[in-house]
Order: sequence, then structure tokens, then C-alpha cells
Amino acid sequence: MQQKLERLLPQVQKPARYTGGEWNSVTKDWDSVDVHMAFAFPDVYEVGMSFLGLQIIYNLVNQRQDALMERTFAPWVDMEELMRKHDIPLFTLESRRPVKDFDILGFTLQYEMTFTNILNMLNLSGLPLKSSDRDESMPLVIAGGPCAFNPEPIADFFDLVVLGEGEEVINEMLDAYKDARAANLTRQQLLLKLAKIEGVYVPSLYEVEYLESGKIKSVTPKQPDVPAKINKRLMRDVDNAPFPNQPIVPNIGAIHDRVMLEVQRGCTRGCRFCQAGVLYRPVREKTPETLMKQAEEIIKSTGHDEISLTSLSTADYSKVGPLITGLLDQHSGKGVNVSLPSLRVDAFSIDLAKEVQKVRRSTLTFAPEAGTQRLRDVINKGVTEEDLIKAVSAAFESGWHAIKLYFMIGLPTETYEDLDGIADMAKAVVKAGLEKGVSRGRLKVTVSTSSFVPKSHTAFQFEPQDTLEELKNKQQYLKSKLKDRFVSFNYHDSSTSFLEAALARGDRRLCAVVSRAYELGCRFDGWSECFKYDLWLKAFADVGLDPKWYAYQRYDYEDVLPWDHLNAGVSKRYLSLEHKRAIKEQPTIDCRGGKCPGCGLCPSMDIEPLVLGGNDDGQV
Amino acid sequence: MAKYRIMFSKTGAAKYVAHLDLNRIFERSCRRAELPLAFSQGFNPHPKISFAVPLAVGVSGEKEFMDIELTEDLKTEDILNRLNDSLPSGIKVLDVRRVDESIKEKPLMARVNSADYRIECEVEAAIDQQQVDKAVTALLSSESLPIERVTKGKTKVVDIRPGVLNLKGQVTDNIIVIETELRTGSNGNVKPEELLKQLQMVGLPIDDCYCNITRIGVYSEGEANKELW
Repeated sequence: MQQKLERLLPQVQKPARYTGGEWNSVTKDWDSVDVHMAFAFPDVYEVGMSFLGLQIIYNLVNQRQDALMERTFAPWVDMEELMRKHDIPLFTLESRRPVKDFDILGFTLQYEMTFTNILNMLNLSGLPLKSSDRDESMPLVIAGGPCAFNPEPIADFFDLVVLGEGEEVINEMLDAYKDARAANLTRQQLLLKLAKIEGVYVPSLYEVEYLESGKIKSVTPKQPDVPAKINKRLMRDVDNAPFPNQPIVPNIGAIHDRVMLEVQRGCTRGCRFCQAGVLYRPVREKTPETLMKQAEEIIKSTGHDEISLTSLSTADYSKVGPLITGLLDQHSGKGVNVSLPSLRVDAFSIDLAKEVQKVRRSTLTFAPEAGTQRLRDVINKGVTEEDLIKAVSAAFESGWHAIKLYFMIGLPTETYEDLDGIADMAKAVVKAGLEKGVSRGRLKVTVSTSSFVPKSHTAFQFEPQDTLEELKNKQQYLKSKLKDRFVSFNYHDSSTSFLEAALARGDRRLCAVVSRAYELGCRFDGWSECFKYDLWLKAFADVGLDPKWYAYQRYDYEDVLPWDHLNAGVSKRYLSLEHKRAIKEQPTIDCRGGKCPGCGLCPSMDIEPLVLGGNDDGQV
Repeated sequence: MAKYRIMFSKTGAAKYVAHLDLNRIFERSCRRAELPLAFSQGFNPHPKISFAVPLAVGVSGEKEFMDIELTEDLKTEDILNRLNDSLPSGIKVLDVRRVDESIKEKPLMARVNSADYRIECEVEAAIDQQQVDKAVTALLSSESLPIERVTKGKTKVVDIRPGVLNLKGQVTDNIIVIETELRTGSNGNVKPEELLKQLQMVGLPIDDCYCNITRIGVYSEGEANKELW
């Protein structure tokens, strides 16, 4: 295979995607370990290598004496074609072994539009797509990641799915796997054993029944010793959680090619559309001491020149100010910068941005999400127009001259007045820029909109998506409203968002659609140059299902949702309450301040938010 | 400030690393090796690393050159060992020497004007040496070798004959090994692939075969010391 591969590589774009050999990658002796696991990222190398979760799990498994982990990514279309033509199976980068030789193949589910890539990777590995068609000789195919919280549309393809944070459960699974093999358990016996580990969901052990309306009647375990509800896993002590101090350094530019220093897990803001805000609850901040130490070790082991402070909302981290000062003091002399992936809409964020960007890049990005105060109250985005104007004025004064604003269209209760609000906000930002003396040649305001996709486990899981037609009308309306020499407008393709909604809120019947779409040739659906909308529509039609039924479905609070048996910790009762508050335009308090809005997670999982709090202007 | 010339090889998986990426790999390796790289002045400081001549993606290099500037004077063997402990697989430092900056010389990049290549072509069926010799002679006796090049969407006809400085071919079983010296750099550059195409046109059966290209040396032809060392 090695030789065949050598001949193919010169013929593809970016051959370094497939060669491995990066600094800090680990190639263990195959025969020296008991369990061989491959981490599969269902997108190209550059995207996968930007994913912190891969580095965390890779480090954890390879730390074990008895196990190894290697990586595999979705080959780009040119490589896939050659692999098929020359009979090269999907292989791992480290040892260039066929994925089929491994004991466990673990996918991460980051985005619905990678589902067909998963099937393609299974097929390229020479594995049957369906779990029920795979035999004892084949690897266990498992998955984790955010989309694991509604894995129903791809449930048939996985032997098991892990809910929540993987640091502990991966080790429990590897131990159980080893024991099971030593005890000569069958695949079925092994799955039953694994199903008893907290956080592990074995789809084949559950029966789904449907009502005549097409909604779900029930999801019930087929056996008495399998839990009816699967609870997510979470790390109690994030500060002491294993963190990859020697992450792999890609040889070719990844999307995020820098130190990813995770400052906290979770977010307390409670934006009602946000799934990550629920899945990663509660907030758990790391101490600045730990972070300083980790940053130092990672800089040393990688040679990176930039530290990105990552989390869902880094400006909220209690010690963000002192941490930045401390990191700059220690590392800026060696040409190392600090960066913030996202900014809050306030002047405090501008101060942080000023601190980290000695040289002003041209553009700052903010996400007000909605155009009017009314709609921002509906989504519980605690941002006012005054906050935004203060923030952008401070930015203009400090030398920035381009502002990018992110909004969502199609949010529940949205009217054309809310769209006018988006245009008004953009104009107010232009006005602030001119008032602050930004030159007319350089001032630029970009409005970027995405289409709202209702996601499971959020307050808006009950809500239908706007129709495709309505979304397109809204985009055109905004386009006409945003005709201004200083403003440019761009928007995401709404047909992608439509399918995303159908899949994100889908049930098990969609497995047939995903596999049909794959057969018809869908791949890399998240890449606009590869996305084939009509093939997806054909796949739905061939199977006899309607994507509109899924995307435009309004659920009642009492309905059994396809993912109700998968517990992210926030109660459905609370999500219903949040939904009612949304309709009444009532905000919800942020639990960072110590007051509990009662989402139900902490008592049910016996945990508390960990906020360091205190005065954040001291030195580290 | 201290300037060093580094001789290195880039083979194996590393031959697929593009030139810009190589720059970054060395920058990171220096940082991992705790070598104090000097940076340019200005708003956007860059490390002072410069290469003799870029290698195309997919071409191995056995003896490549680069210059780095450090803020401290270090022992050359120290630099060599520390870098080799910090480079990803496929990239290896072979030698390091201190550059005497009191002697004015043109920058490395401007000095390179030729390179030696070894090209191994695996052909389907065994061929004999005579066939190879015939093709080599035919090519060397041509007065001109016009080829078409597309730059910025425009097609231009260029004669590469003056850029083919040396050419030999040796065959063993079904592998043809071509050794050639080609003009390299900003003036009259010839790519090894262009030469292969010409050899094909004069009858060498290397259509669609797998060719392993290695640059085995880069030179400053015409200077008293053509080696860059």
C-alpha cells in the first residue's frame, strides 16, 4: 500500500494532508499495545487538525501503555477518486495501516453536514455502513461530539455513541474493551457491557415506536438492564483535567494553527438558540496558574507564535485581564502573541482586544445576533444597541476601521421590523465611524447573516424553522435595505440551513435518507462547492420522507422528541419554561452572578458552576 | 547578531511540504530548539530566515541551503544538534557554518543559478541503454527546445535548451535514472518536469510513469566557488 500511495500523492492537491510525520505525532509499535484505536475526523485534514478535542483524546489514549491512537481524515474528492481507482483503503496517517485493522474507530460529530463523509469513510475502509451488518472481525465504530446529542439520523451506522466530555469515559471504555476481549465476549455481549458505562448510548439496544402523526411514541430499552435515559458525561475538575501539553503541530497550515488554550468550559449566558451553551454546562473556569503553566509547556513543545484563548465566551472568563497580561509579560519578548477568538459586544472587550493586538488588524467582529431589543430579549442575548455603539466607538477611536456584525435571520417571532433593526444597527455603526473620524475610504461595515436552525436540547427545539422561501425573501429584503457605500452584506446559503435543520431535529428514519444521499454521491456537504441540494431532495423523495416535515415541525411541550432519552442535564421542563419566556420577551438571569435560573443541571448531576470571580485587575 | 548557513535535506514525507510551510516549520523548530532567532524591524516583524531556492512540492532535496540570523553567537554544532532534535520527520540539518558578514556577498537567493537533479523513472517494460542514449543525444543535439508556459493566463513559448546544462541517462531493468544539471533561479529556470516532457518527445517511454525527482545540489555557476558552502 505504501508504494501505491507514493505514486498517488504527487497527483493530488495538498499531498501533505495524507502523509503524517508531524512534530509531536505519536507512532507506537503496533504489537506493543492491546487496543488500537483510530480517531476519524469526517472532514479534511486542515479542519480536523484545528479541533482541540482531537488533540485532547489523542494525547489521553497515547499516554496509556496498553493502547495507541492514530488519525484519519476524510480524503478530499481528488484523493478519494484515486484511492478507489487504485484500491487503497482508508488508512491512518501514523502507521499507514488500513483503518479496518484497528479495534475501535471513533468519529467526532461536529456538524450535521459531515454525515455523508462518515459513510464515505466507512465505505472506503471496506466496512459495511450499518452496525448490524458488521461482524466480530471489524472495528467497533463509535462517535462523540456535539451532534452525538441527537445521533438518531445516523444511529444505524454506529455501534455506540458517547454523550458529553470524553476525557474519563474514553478510558473506561478502553478498559472495558480490553476486559471483554480477555474474557472472549461476543460483540453483542461487549456492547451490553459498554452500555452500562455512564454516558454510553448503544442505539441498537433501543426500540423506537412512532405515532400515526409521524411523531415519536416512545423510545424504550430492549433489555431491562439498559438505562432508559442516558446522561451526558462531564469533567468535575476541569482545572486538573488532562490537557495536551504536546499537541501535534501540522506541517501544512491548519485553519487554527496556534496554541489553543482552553480557559474554561461552558457558558452561562443562556442564549436560547445556542446548543453548545446547554451541552457544555455548567461553566467551569480554569485557574490562571494552570493556564500559565500549560501555555508555557505548549509553547515550548510546539514552537507556536500565537496563543488563542479559547472557550465559548472568553471575555466572560473571570481572570481574562490578568491572564492576558501574564501571558504577554512572559512570552511577547519571544515574538509570541495572544489572540481572542471572539469578542463580547462591550467596551471591556475592546480593551482586551487593544491589549492583545499591538498592531491593529483591520477588522473587529461582533455578534448582536438580532436587530431589535425585542428580538434580542426573545433570544436572551443580553446586548443593547447602546452597548454596541459604545463598543464600536471605542474600536474606531483605537484605530480599527472595519467592523463585522453577525446576525441570525429566521429567529422565532421575527418580523420585518426586526430586519429593519439590522439595517438600522449597521447604519448606526457607520455613523459612529464617521463621527470618530474614520476616513471615508477605509470605513467598512460588513453585515453577515446566517439562517436560524432549531437545535435539540435548546429552548427553541420546539420551534419550526422559517420556510426556505421566507428565508430567501428576508435575505433579499435585507439586501435592499443595506444599500450603503460603507456597508456590505453577505449571507449563508439557506438550503444548507434547511437540511441542517431537518437532520438536527431528525429521527432514526432519516438513516435511510443519509445513506441514500451518500449513494447518490453527496460528500463534503458543508463545502459550498460540493453541496448538491437536489441530490439530497432526491434522497428524501426516494425514501419517502419530507425534509419540510422535519425542519418545519412545531413540537408541543408534551411531545416525545427523538432525543428526549439523551440527557444533557438541562431539564425539558426548564427548556419549555425558557421557550415560554422567549415568547413573552422575558430575559433570564445569568448564573455567573450566583443566582440560579433553575435549569436543573447542577442538582441532577451533583455539580456546581465553578466561577473564580473576584477582582480581575490584579496580576497573575 | 550572528548569521549562519545551514545545509539540510528534505526527503520522505517532508517532500510534500510546500515552501511557505517549510519557512514556518523552521521558525517553529528554532523556537522549540530555543535558538534566539533575530526578527526584522517594523510593525510586522519576521524572523530572519532565507532560503537559497524553493523546492517544488513533491521534489526531494538532498543538499539544500538556508541562512538564519540569531541574536546570539552559538556554537555551530550546538545549532545542528538542537535543530535536529526539533525538526519533524524528513527534514534534517546536515551541517552548519558561521557566515562571515565582513565579506560582502550577494544574498543566497540571488546566487543560485543551477541545480543538479536525479530523476528515477519507473517504466512498465524493460528498455535498453541504447534507447536511452538515443533520446539523450537527440535532446542534447537539438538547437532549441521550445515549450509552452502559461503565466498569469497567458501562454508564452520559451526555449529551454540553453537551460539544460548537462544530461545523462542510465537504465537498469525498468528504472531509468536521469542525471541532469538545469538552470535554476530567476534567469532561464527549467523545471525537471519540463525536461521530462522533452525526453518523452524524443522517444523515451516515460509517458504516465512514476518519477521520483530529487534535487541533489544547488550551485552558483560562474563564481570561483560554485558550492554555496
